[in-house]
Order: sequence, then C-alpha cells, then structure tokens
Amino acid sequence: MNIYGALEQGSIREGVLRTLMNLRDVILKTLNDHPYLLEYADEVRNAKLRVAEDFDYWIDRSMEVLEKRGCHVYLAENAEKARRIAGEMVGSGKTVVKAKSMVSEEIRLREYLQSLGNEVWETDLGEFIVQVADDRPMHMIVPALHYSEAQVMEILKKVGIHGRDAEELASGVREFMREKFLKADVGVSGCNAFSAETGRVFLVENEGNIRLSTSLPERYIALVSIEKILPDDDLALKSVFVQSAYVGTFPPAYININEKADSQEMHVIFLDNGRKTTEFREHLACIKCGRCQLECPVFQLAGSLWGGEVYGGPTGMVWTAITEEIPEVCFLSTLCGKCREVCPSDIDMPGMIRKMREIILKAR
Amino acid sequence: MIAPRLLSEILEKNMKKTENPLGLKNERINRWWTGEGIEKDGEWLFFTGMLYQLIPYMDSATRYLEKLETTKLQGVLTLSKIIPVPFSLIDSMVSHKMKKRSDRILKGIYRALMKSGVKVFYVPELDTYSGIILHDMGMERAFREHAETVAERLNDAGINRIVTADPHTAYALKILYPEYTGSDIQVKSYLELVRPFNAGSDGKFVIHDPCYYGRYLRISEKIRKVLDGFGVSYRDVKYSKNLTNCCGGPIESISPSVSWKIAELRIEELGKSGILTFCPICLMNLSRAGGDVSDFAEVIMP
Ligand code: SF4
Repeated sequence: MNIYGALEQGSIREGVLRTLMNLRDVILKTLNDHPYLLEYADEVRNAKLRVAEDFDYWIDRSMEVLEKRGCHVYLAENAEKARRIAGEMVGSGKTVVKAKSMVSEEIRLREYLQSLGNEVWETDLGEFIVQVADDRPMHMIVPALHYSEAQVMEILKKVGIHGRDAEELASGVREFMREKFLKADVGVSGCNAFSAETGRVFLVENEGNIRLSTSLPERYIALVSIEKILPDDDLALKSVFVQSAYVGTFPPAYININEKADSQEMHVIFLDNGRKTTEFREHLACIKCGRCQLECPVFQLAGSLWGGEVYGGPTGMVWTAITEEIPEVCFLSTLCGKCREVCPSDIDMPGMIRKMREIILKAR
Repeated sequence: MIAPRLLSEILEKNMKKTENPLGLKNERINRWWTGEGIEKDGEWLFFTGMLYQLIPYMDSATRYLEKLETTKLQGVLTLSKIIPVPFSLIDSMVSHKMKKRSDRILKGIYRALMKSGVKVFYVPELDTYSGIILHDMGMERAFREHAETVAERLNDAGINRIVTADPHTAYALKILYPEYTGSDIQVKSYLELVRPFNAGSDGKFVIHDPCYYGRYLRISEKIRKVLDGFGVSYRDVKYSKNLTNCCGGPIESISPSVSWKIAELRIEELGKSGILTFCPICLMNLSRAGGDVSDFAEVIMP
C-alpha cells in the first residue's frame, strides 16, 4: 500500500491519534516532574554527536573492550554483511527469539534467518502481531498501533491464539511465547545504548520479553548500530532514561544491562550501513523514541507508509536517507517544524528535508 | 504527488518571468493600495510579500492541480516541455470575492499600523514575493538569486526597516535574507508593532497559530498580548503556540489531497466555527476544509 491507500484506509490515522492521545500528557507530565531529563537529553545529544565525529576511534575502543570481556565482535559495513554474519552464527534449523529492533528491520534479519531454515519469533507483543500479519511496523515503538482489537483477534487466530479481549490475547501470546523461549537456541536483540567504557548493551522495555530473549538462549547476538555507542555507562543510562521518557513509559519497567555471562556465548555486530559517511550527521543523535512520528501531521495520516522501506515519518525520512536512499516522498513534508519542536535531541529535521529536496532536484 | 521536478520547473520559470510562483504580474494582482491614500515615505516600509494577493489564485491553481495529482498524465507532462497549468484559465477561475477579501485584509493591516502611530509607508514597486517556496522546495540557487535581487532593490531604495503582513514573508526576510544575502534590514511582523485601539470586535474565537509564528519566529505570546489589548475574546486548543498543528497549506501545490487531509485533521481539533488566524495560507487551507476562518486584520479592521 502506498500513502494514498493509507489516506483512504483511516485505520492508521485512528491508531496514530489514539496512541498520541494516550501518551502526550504522560510525556509532558514526566518532563515536568523530572526536569533533569531535559538536561540528560542534551548531554546525550552532545555525546552522540561527539562520537559521530570520530566513529573509528569509538568503534575500535568498543570492540576492544568487548573482546577483552570474551565476546565475539564484528563490524558490518552494510546490511548485507550484517545479515550474513548473523546468519553464520545462527546456522539453520534453529529456533530464534528476537527482541524488537528497528535495526534488525533495517537489515531484514528475520526474513533472512527464516530463509536459512530457522524458526524466528518476534517476542515483543506488537512486533509479533506485525510478524503474524506479514506487515511492517507502523511506528518505531508501537509497531501495531494501526490495528484495532478486532483486527488483532483475527490476525492472532492464524497462529492458534484466541481470546475475547486484549488481556486474553496478551496472555495467549505469552503462553505461545513461553514454549519458544524455552526451546530457543539463539536470542537476538538490538540495542538502545551501548557503553564504550564497559561494553554493556542497554535495553529498555515494559514487557520483560527482552530479558527472556537475551538471557535464556545459550547464544546471544546483539545488533548495535554505531550511533548507539556512548562513551560511558552514565551516558548510556541517561540515554535510555530519555528514550523511555519520550515514549511515555518513564520510569521503564525493565532496564536490561547486558554483558557477557559465563553461561552464554555473546556476539556483538556493529552496523555502519551509511552512518559513518552520511551528510545528515546531526540525525545520528536520534534516540528513536518515535515522538516526532506521532506528532507529525503527515505521519498521522499515513504512518510509516510515508517513508522508505523501513523507516517512516520525519525521523524516518532522514533514517531512510542515511540507510537506503533519499526518499522522494520527502517533498510531502509541510516543514511545519513540529518534529524538531518535540524531539529530545532538537534535531533539525525540516532543515535536513530541505537539503534532501535540494539533492533530489540537483540529481536530475 | 505532483512530480517535484515538474513543479520546480514551473516555479523557476514563473519566478524568472514575474517574481512570483504563479507567473502573474505583480502590478496586476497588487491593487489593495489603490484609493488607500498610502504614504510614500516614513520609518517602516510595509512589505506584503504578495502572499495575501496570491491566495485567490493559489486556491484556483490548487483545485486544478488536485485533478492532476493522481493521474498518470503527470509522467508524460514531466517528459514534455509543456507547462501543464493553464494560468490564463486559472485567472478566469479566480473568485472575485476572495480577491476583495485579500485586499481588505491588507488594507486592515496597513490601517491598523497607521492607527497605532507607526510611521508606515508603502511603495508598490518595492513589494514582491519573498521567494520562500523556492527555499522550501530545496531550490537553493533560485532562492538565493531571488533573495539577492530583492535585497539589493531594498538596499538601493535606502530601506532599513520593514514591517510584514504574514508569517512566511516575515520569516524569509527576518531570518533567511540575512543568511543568504547579508541584508541587515530590521524586520518585524505587524503584530509586533500594532498598539491596541478600540476596534469594537465581537465574537468568540479559537486561535490557530501559524507554524511560522508559533515555532520559527516564536511570537505566540506576543500575539496573545495583542489580542488581550484589543479585547478579543479567544480560547486556545491543546495544540497551540509552539506546539501548534499545521494547516497543511505548505504542500498544497505538491499534494493538494494530503494538504487538504491535514487541514481536516486540524479542523477536527479547532472546530469549524470562529477560527482566528494570522496567515493567508492558513486562511485559505482551513477554509477549504470547511472552517469558518477570520484573519486577525478582519477582526480589528479600522
Ligand atoms: S528524531 Fe527526535 S523525536 Fe524523532 S525519533 Fe529521533 S529522537 Fe525521537
């Protein structure tokens, strides 16, 4: 479906507005009650931009720390290499449990591992629904926001999960997942923030599925896009605090701080995929909270269908430009500036969208 | 979506020809001042940027482009050198009422400034479109060239203070021109200069802040003070001031249908009646989506 289809459909619009309604006051209240989070946001932005100025140094440093701690470490320049590395580690005929991760979407990891003959399960409730529906995540944090309860009911029937309401469905999914967790050979996660000081992978969540996905299997693969690297634990922790505040879930129910455990084999894949050389470097300060998406008028109408293959909305315009190519639909932005206004990192997305337009028009 | 290249070509040609995006001669569309007894000299040059004057024409052009937006025809048109927008036709489709309304708003702003004791003057030959759409479209070179021409003309005329009528022109002249042309002319919106007088306004309004006032120029609080001074009764919606929601107007030419849907979203929040705004684009787009919209200048019309 393209953006015009989305306009007609209406369910995306309803879902985005419903989610916004549920979250906006919570976010504002959180920031009001915990004003230090705004300072954290500033610190995180500055640190990320500092790291982006010298990625080579910070990647080397991070890899060294991880190796010292007994992890297997890889650096993938692009999506295909990252996929292949992960594929080699997983092999075939395995059961893989996955935490929700936009970077894994970016490299099409689930589809690739499935094509190698593995059983791969998304363990985040929303992402699981999207997987079963064979759809794409409509929002970075709330991937299934465009489905009504009745639609979810229908979708989940495909995998034999039944329930009369959201609660029953959620418990059905938990039960379904429990068996997968227990037999899983490999766990995969993304990363919300990475500490170059200690090699720790920070992940926030509210469901507890990430904890299970990354601790139960004997082999754990963490996918770390290089803009997640922060100089130390303090900043990494601040980063996940800011993210959860701007998602409207502060304080988060779970903060996972993953590092090499004795009983587990840990692999870390650093992914570049256009980040090191992008001319949209300011956007590497994005912590993928998805707030700009919910607040954007075009996203409110079309969700992530306004975007590239993976990323949509204002942040998605720039992520697409970094990881794929500049999307021509960037001309649909009204440049109203709301995205920048609500962004914890004060990223000038309208400015970058103008720049993209300039590049597109020049190329012809 | 109208093919960006096609649109940019049209814009560039029209700007070269007439200094405005629709290719209409300024002398023809800029008639608001006739019979107004304007001052030819003073402290603040009134610079309308032609946006209010263009609105009636943009409205017709948008209705035309809407038909073109989803057709396959565009692809062919992009390849050919034909300009697919028949501007002569658009001219004949323009609503006389809208033209009159735009003129009245500009008269209102000018008179309000006079009545506030601002030494305002107007020179029609110096007034022209700011070029902001070129900037928004990413047509950097074209924008720079146009801005330089305009800035030079203003400089040659010895202008050092400008008062604007709409947020887009205000932003272009105040923020972009210094950056692109080195111009150091002082620029203010009329809302920053008017002083309350007894306007006898009645009615209750809901405010729609234009994005450029709310975020880019951040004068929403100032606007509230002006409204209070004039005794205008108003309420704010949740998404107001720096968090205001877009009217969709800026993409009306590249995608009339998405633009219109955005206006509908905004109307859902504002309600249909008593909308008060300060921008010709918001005025047009919110009206198009069924809103009963007033421009501030109409409310305080001296
Ligand atoms: S651009 Fe800003 S608001 Fe949007 S997802 Fe990234 S950090 Fe969040």
